[in-house]
Amino acid sequence: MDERIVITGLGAVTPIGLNTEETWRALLRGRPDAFRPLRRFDTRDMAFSVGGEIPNFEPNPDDVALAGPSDRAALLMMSAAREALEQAEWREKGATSGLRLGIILSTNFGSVECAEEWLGGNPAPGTMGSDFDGLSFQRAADFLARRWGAEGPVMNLSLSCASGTAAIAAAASLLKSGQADAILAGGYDALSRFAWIGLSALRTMSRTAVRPFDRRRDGTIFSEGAGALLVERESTARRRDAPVLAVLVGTALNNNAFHLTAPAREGAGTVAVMQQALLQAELAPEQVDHINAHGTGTIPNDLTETQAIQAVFGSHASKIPITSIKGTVGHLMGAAGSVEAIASVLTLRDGRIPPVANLEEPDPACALDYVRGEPRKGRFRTVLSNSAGIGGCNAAVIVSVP
Amino acid sequence: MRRVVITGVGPISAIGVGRSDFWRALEEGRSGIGDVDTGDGNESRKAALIRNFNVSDYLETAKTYLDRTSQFTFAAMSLALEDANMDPGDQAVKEAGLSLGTAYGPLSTMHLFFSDYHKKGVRLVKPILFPHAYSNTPISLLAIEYGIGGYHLHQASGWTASSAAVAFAVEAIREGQVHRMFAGGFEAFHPILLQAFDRAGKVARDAGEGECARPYDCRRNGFVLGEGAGIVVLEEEAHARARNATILARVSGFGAAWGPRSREKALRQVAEVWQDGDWVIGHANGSREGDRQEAEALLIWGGGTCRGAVFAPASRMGETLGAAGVFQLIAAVGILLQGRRYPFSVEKPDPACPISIPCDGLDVRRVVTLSSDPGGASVALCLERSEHAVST
Repeated sequence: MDERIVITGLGAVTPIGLNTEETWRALLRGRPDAFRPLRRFDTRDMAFSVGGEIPNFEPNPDDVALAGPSDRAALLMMSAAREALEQAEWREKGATSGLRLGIILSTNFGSVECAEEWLGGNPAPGTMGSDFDGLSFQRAADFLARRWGAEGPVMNLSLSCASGTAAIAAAASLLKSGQADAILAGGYDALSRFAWIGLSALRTMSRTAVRPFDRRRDGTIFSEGAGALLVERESTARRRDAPVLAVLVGTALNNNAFHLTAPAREGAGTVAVMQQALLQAELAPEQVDHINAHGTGTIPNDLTETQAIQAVFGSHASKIPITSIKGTVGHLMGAAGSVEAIASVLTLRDGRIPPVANLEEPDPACALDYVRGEPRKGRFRTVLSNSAGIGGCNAAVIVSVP
Repeated sequence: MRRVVITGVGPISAIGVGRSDFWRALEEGRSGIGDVDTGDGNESRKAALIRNFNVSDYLETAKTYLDRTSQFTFAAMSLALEDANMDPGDQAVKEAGLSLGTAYGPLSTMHLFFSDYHKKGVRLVKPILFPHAYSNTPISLLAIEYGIGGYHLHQASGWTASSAAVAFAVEAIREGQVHRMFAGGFEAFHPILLQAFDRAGKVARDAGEGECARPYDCRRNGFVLGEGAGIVVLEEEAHARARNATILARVSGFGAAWGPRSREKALRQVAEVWQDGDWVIGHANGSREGDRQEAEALLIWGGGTCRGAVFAPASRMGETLGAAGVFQLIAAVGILLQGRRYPFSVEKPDPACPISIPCDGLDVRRVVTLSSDPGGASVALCLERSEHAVST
């Protein structure tokens, strides 16, 4: 990288916290607090009825004025973005200096919930074309651009459950190309009927709990939420005197090129994406102090991810403390990578790694230092965060202390 | 900075399939617009659809299920590989990256999956459909089919999606993340697209001469929907020459911006001013607002006047939404490579859209494409004639 890319703002809305600090405290407690019977839609006849619904989300009235009351996915994203931009003091120290803000979001399902009537059959005569807009995933990014006066690139990606991490990688690219001075990189997804019925059909969900790397694990549980990070060139952050939380030292994106739904043998794509990120960061494997794993709690993911970490880090692998936050917060879909990157930054800040919830009987086939029980304390200077998604896409980011 | 060149194009559209057919269609002024069944049985409407399409003509192996967008994407990839003189099994293919974009993605599969739930109940949905209903399903399928494990990015950025996808591909090559990219986009027609845009008042209505897309014309009253997919092969110049690839054009820049002046800002990112003789391939599709805003932006960029020719492919191939940008790009390659002149006339010019139309005698050295989403985003790409280009 020519110039360093830094992270200056964080924002999150999750089933375990309506902002970053609340979410972080819950992650450090490491209890499976996200999961409850879904109330947003009728789950009768559905195979699964417990998920990571956010029970008490109150959207900001200004956001409702822009997005309407029913576009939950966009409202979650706008809430996380607001927190990140406020923390980074963008309005006070960026917008006023004529700096160009860009927006790069990423999602699995965007605002599809608004368009369910269109997808379900013939919409009632009064159903507006604007509800159909929910199928153009660009919508939430446009709302944010309007709210925050973005003038740079405003885009939305869709890379399944690698989405949140991919948005950060894409933001780094655009900053290097000079298209913007700062970019809000976000991942988001809401629990909608469309998403829930589809994800249930994939047969990757557990009815009981997400138990990453535990030998009893039997699937993941999907959650809703949003995560946002403000990333900018170091010179921009300096110029506007913004607090630098972390340095984004490496990013990578790839695909297993193997199968639409099954993980690659021995995590081959995950191996390559971690190696690519290390290469870009100019780091040796031994320089990574902690890994925030994808760790979904499905039988194949946790095994192949363990194998991939062993392949990349060799004898150092067993010395790296590793966590997956999905036992606590669930699988946040498009937001997963964003919130995991946020957790990685906070591990750098606080010297604490959140424990893997529900990891009581470690799988002998996943024999690495997965953090159990209490948060792990220490000085962590460099953290790698991994994501993967349906279709075989993978993404990795590496963050370091400023 | 590493130079990025185009070494192959694969368009599958309502006006033509493959490089030669597509460019000839543009030269002859062929239109792809025809009657379409809207699904509600009310009236006959128009759209620019790909007809007589058989995906098995383009597949290496048989498939149990493919959404229409995935089918188009496979076809575009097959055409692009052939055009770039690459074999599917080449190591150069496997080491490449993929960057595609779409506005609405596999809409027909989403609809099929969810209408089963509505009509028959949750127990009778077809699980196989769901993994085929993701916005990024087509790009995943390409990665799997061709073993492309490298750089991988998918845009769901509305009408700018495929231009943004090409921009990211160019940037990935410039950064040295990858030497070769397959980039472009896809979109497929579905009756609910027409119904929804109709209710929003965006689709062209019959004003006495049938529904037509009339970019920049004072009688314009909306767009006609189109569909298709396009993929271009982008390579770092030295790598292209090392494999003796035919260089078609060079991508000299991209720009992306948002807001009321996004078109002008995106244009200025690729070229500070509109130089005399530059062609512009616009996104004008016959919509009242969009066309006027595009014309205004071009005039400002040109310092008050039109400095070259403007061409709007949506008049023939319909509004192809997320795929529009890559079709504009492939049209641009044709102009640069062969000095092709696409006939385009505005019968009754709107005084609010004073653009100039293609004329003879231009020695075209540069073509700029401009894609815009109604939500406010614009992406511009700039192509220049490569000194190594080989006219074919």
